[in-house]
Amino acid sequence: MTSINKMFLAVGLAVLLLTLAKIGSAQIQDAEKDPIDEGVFAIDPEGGGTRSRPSGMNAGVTVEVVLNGQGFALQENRTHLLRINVERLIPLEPVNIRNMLAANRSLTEIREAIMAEPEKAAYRGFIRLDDTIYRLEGIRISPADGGENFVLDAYLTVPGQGPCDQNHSTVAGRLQAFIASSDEGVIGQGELVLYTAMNFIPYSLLLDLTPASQKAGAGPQKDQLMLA
Amino acid sequence: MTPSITVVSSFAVIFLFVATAATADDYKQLSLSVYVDEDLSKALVAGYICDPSGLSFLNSSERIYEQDTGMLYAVTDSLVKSQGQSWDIAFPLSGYYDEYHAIFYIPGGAELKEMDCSQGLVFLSSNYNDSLVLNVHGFDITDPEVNIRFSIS
Repeated sequence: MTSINKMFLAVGLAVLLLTLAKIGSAQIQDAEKDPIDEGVFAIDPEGGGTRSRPSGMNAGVTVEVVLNGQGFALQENRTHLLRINVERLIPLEPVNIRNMLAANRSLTEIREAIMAEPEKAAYRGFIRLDDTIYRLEGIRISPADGGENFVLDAYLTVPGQGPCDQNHSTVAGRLQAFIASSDEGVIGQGELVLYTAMNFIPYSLLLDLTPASQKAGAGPQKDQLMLA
Repeated sequence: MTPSITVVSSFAVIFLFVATAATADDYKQLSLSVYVDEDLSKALVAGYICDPSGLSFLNSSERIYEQDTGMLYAVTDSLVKSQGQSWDIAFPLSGYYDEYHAIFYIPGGAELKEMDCSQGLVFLSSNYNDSLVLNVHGFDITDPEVNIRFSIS
């Protein structure tokens, strides 16, 4: 993206999202309850982080890109580049795929088996904040106001640090954003918090999530924002 | 909403439109899963890719590509090669990718010997349910290439 376009994007995002701030904050407060309450994560009472389920539990085949875009994370006087991607995937155990390959199932049969249970689709995602990649886990996409807007809520995780922890991930933060869709595009505004050993680092988020097809003038793509 | 806010919002939307319209159709992304079979001879490649033409190793392989969804399904014996006591997976792509995500599932008992990725790609290795999982990620990558060498214990 050229530098001029980046400037336009920055100005446009900042001004537009200021007008969404009041709406967005109210909607985030109404978001579904914290996944921690439902025992998804175990809290480390020492405050060093929480453990999520083992890495690889997001094993599966991507069937749709639900959200994709970039923007900024603002913290005090500093601006950080942020990229976000959320996909819908069909969970698949690798052994099931290997069994189909061993049985010489046709490609059409394999595709049908992959897509056989679309109701089991789950979300998988990540963000890149500057040069650091965080996996998104516990992703929730909830309708916001009965329209095409919704709230994205997810935990940021990183791989386990110790030699015995590489098959687990550690919660490193949380992201909540109000996503507003219009004929002009899809905009996200919200908050990101990074956990450290001693503190929380809050960021304000401004995101452009407009699908490429909509940018090309094909009009809003409702299906792309359809909730699982 | 007051008229002044409406004007400001409209102005901001125009800025956004100008900024993003120039990149329409320019965003190249892939998110593929590669499942190696138990015999270490062939692999299923499945997932999302905006343009499969960069996957030249699939040219001689059976594949299905859904243009409207970007979904790719392919079975290929071009990825995994035996090298005596070890096996190599070569996963080259041509072209530029704004976002690259590839996950390799190798049968259990596999031990990673060597992992060579293009500059800008990062990878994570883990074990999951009798599979060695190699998760490769990257942004703004040109001609990304992943080469994996593993052995079976």
